[in-house]
Amino acid sequence: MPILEIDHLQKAYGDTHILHDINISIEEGDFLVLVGPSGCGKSTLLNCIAGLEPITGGTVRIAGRDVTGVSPKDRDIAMVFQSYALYPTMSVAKNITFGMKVRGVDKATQDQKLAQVASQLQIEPLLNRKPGQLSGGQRQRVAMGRALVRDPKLFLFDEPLSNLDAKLRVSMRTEIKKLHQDLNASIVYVTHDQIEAMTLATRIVVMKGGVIQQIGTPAEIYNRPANMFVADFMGSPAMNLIPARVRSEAGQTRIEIDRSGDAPLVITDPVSRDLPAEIVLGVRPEDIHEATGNAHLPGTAQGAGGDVMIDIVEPAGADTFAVTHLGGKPVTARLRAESAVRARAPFPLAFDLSKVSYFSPKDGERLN
Amino acid sequence: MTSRTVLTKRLSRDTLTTPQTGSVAKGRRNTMLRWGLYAILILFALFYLMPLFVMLTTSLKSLEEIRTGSLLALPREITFAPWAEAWSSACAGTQCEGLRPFFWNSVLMAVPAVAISTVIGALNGYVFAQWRFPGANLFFAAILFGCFIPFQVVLLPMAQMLGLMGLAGTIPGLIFVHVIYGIGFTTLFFRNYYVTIPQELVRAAKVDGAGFFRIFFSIFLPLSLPIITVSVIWQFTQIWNDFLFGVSFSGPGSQPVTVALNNIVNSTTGVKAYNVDMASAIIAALPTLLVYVVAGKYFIRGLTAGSVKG
Repeated sequence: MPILEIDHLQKAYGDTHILHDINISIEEGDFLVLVGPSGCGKSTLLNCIAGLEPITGGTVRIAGRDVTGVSPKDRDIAMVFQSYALYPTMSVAKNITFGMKVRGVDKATQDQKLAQVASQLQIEPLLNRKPGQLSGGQRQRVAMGRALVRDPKLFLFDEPLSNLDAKLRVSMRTEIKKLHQDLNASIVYVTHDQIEAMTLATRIVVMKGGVIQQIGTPAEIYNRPANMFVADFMGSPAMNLIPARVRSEAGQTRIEIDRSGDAPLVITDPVSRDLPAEIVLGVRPEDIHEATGNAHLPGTAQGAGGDVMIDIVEPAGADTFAVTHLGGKPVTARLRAESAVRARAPFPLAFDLSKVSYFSPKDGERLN
Repeated sequence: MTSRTVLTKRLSRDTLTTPQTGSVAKGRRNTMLRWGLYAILILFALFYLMPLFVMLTTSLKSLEEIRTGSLLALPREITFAPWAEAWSSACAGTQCEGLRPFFWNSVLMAVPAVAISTVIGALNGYVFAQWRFPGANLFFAAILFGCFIPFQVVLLPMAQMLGLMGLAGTIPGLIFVHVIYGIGFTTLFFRNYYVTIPQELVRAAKVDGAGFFRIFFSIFLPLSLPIITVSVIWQFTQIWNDFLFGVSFSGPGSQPVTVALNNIVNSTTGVKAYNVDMASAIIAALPTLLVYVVAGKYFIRGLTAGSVKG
């Protein structure tokens, strides 16, 4: 039985449609991440799941129960907010037990659960402090404690890490992942950070303009993006999207890419068939390799590259990024750190054709 | 006064931090600037305190001394007789019991009226700030509009209304009028204060299972001390000092102290007892002064709360 089932959900304010026909289903123990740029409706969707926003159409089921018209307190959910939303006049302990107190849980159970959660999150020394006396990371823990103590069917996280500094964000990310594994909790998590989405999720929903672009595992989303938006949004540096022409020659698909100051680069794809004349070639920076020496990398099709003029070289420690121009677009290749690549000089690059995506330039949809 | 203190504090802090890099001349100029500022402030303070000084000294002089001495002179012989007379035996019209009964009338009127209007304002503000409903803006505009209706306009309809309710000429009638008139202001205060409290707090409490009143009492009310102080000071000053409603809607036994003060000052038998008049005026003004002295520091804090973060 799915722990959360969203069926044809619609949300509109008057004539302004915020969410269009949302269908999502996750199993118990899933970590679902809603990701997208700001204004894509991901937070609204989370609030609809929580019952904090009424929906215009469709149904929401939690653990098989239709909760579409049910108030937030009766949905068996707990939520962690972006601003933490700790009650400022209450101590940490009171913040965590407030929900139980409201629900009339007896004092002994409250104390026992408080102690358990406090030790789990290592916030025992903070229990008597007020939220104003805590650091950002500590507030974050207390906010999670308030959710954990409820032991709900479904956890909802609304950009919980976006107010933390970069270093703390990474360590809290790991902790959330660990909590998920330890508790086998079902989580819906909203973020605009695609790295957070990739690292935490068991399933990702990519949204744009209130429409779901793709649902899948992190690997599916990363390797086989459904359209150019997903391809561009997920991954850092972003996937290279290169306009190209397709010719069929002797039963083989030849792809022509304009190259600055030279004849077009022609690569042969032995696998793909029936591509339209104009395509956009999508290739991740790590799937563009140096073609010298070990010219035939595993999975690299023969002739899938050539010399290109390098514009900029950006050493980044573990990797070196080389930026060139193909098809009128800047193209980034992730090369080995010790690569001999130089700026303003030609350099041989090869595409790993087993991993490229083809998109239609008209609607941006995936072709292969 | 408090806002001026803040200003001088800020200036002095600035002058203390700048000379590190500046020249000695600049530091000296800043010192002179500061002294000039103090001189102006003291001048203004003296100017504003002058009437109080005259009232206080006159109330402590005998009538004989007032007639012969100068207005600004200190009393040669301090007497509290005018105060005693003002409190318990001065004549307001034909009634010669001093201000005392009317003072208690005012207390009986102001305390419940302040409490009720503050509570209603807090609930209204809470709804307008955190529980938006269709047409909320229109309702809020209408309530705000109530702040700007001049007292005179409502005198006749209100008299009719109080008559119909059987409250004409009674203290509950006055409480009713002041509560109605106060709601506009108290709602505005609380709404503007609660708007600064993040909505996520309400959402978190909703998910935690709390309802409308639980959220109000457990989360909003404990945060509200500064704005409650503002509301109480404002309402108390308005209601205690009100004369028009007091004179229009009170009966013989329910007149507030402001009306009695007017009657004492205006009913003279032969010689005008300036010392008693002054003592009466100070007695009538004392409670509002007291409220401000006790809670004044919260007043400024509450008025500026939310305007600057941190």
